[in-house]
Amino acid sequence: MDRNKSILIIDDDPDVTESLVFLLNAEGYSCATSSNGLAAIEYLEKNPLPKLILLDLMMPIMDGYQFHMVQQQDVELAQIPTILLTAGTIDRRIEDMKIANFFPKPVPVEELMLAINQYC
Amino acid sequence: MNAYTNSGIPAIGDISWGSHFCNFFQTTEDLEACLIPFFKAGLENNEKCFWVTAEPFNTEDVKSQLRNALPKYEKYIKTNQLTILNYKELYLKYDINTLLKNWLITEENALAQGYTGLRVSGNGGWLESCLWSKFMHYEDTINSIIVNRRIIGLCSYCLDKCSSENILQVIRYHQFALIHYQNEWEIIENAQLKIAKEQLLRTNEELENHVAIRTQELEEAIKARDEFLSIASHELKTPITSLELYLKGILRSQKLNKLSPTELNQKLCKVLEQTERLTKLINQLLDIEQLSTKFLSLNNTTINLTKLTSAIIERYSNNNCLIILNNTQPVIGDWDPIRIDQVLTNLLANAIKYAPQKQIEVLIEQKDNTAIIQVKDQGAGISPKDQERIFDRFVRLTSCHSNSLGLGLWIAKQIVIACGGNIYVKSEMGKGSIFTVELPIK
Repeated sequence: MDRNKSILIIDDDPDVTESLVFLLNAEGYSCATSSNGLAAIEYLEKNPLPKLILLDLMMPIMDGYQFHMVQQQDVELAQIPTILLTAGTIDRRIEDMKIANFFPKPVPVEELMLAINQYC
Repeated sequence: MNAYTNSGIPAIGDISWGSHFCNFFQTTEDLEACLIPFFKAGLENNEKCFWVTAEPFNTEDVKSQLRNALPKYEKYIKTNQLTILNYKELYLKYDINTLLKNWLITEENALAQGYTGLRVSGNGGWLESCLWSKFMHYEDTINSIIVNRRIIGLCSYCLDKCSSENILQVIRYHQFALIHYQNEWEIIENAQLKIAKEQLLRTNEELENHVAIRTQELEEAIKARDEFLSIASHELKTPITSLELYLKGILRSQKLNKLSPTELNQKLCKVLEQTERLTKLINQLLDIEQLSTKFLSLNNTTINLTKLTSAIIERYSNNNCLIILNNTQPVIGDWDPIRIDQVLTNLLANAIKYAPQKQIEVLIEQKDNTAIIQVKDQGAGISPKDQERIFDRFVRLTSCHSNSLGLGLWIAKQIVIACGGNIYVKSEMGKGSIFTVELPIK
């Protein structure tokens, strides 16, 4: 994975991750994917840290909120800018989250690309 | 307009219009204690008032009593809101029917003049024993004619002048009796009225219970609807998201000449998958509307259930799953092939979703006049608690992206019911589930 343009996508919908990877690859980013928060933490423990995380909120096993809590407790992980992507209703909990940006699904693609470009 | 008015008598409080009650007294003070506040309350409530006096009062006594008690006494007299007259001017002048009719006319006129109702009090002090039964008939009739009118009537009887039989009669012909005895107010209710009141209370209580139950049901329905809307919007947004991402990705890659024809073809197939996912969701949404109206129109035609099932299984053949059909014997009946297809597709899709990569058995058989379809999976099984609710609307046993609205089994059930059939599940944890559909063969 190219460290400078690396992104970790955490989303449980395979169609969403696959299409995101396809577009981001086309834009020159390299991507890794995890289908829930726990799988992402396991990935982050074993691999070089990505420049950016795209995080879904509603996921089985460990959802986006729980992942964010774990992320914030780790000094290194907390420094990775994180962009939220969600199709669900917006919870008040996101007000307390330390996130770089937030996009509802369907994602406004141009805006998402601009935001990603800011971080990697 | 209020259904109640203040009686002015603390022991009674508010009474409903149409009340006709009596008061037994022994002393003049007893009678004053009852009638003065009774008329005071009526006059202050802008009611037209009639006080028919008899022993132990005469009209002059009453006038001076009221003048002391009511600051606006002169105004009430002047405007004719209050009329004080002797029994001789009334009871001895007119026959019973005329008397009764006059009260009703007086009420109508009072209402027309802007009064809130008519308040009347009479006193039986003048009654001779020979007139008792006639007057009791008058009292009895009053009950039925004022019941829906804005009239209240209070009749006073002197205890010392009544025989025990008289007392019983008076109580019978009034809705309740008031007795000022040893400085305490006592109320004796007419037995029938008491029963009616108790019934009314019970009915009210039942009504309140019904309302509470209905309110809870409505709240649950609203909650289910909101949850459904949230799930539906989530489920619709997800395929649109990936659809857009694929298309943008294709455009971007094309621009950079990064995409081979094979890759392009692959991505376009993905795009198609997403539109199919959307179509399925939208069709389910449209189905709820039709099925919720409780009337499902079926286009029945003679079909072979075995053949139909076989064709549906064929559709899943390249879907990485193993479905076995345990029958080749035709089962013929009149059903709507599109709707039966929907039932089977929903059952199979669930089996594939909850028991992936495991064998699914489908059994078709005929028992007497019933066609039986069974879909047997080797999934994790459904707990008894979940078995009760899986046929309800908007129930999904997995959370998050399960690619469904929680409507599949509900839709299947509505269709089977419309066909006059039955659908149920038998399941054992760890061993799998058997969904059975029974359809009558007509």
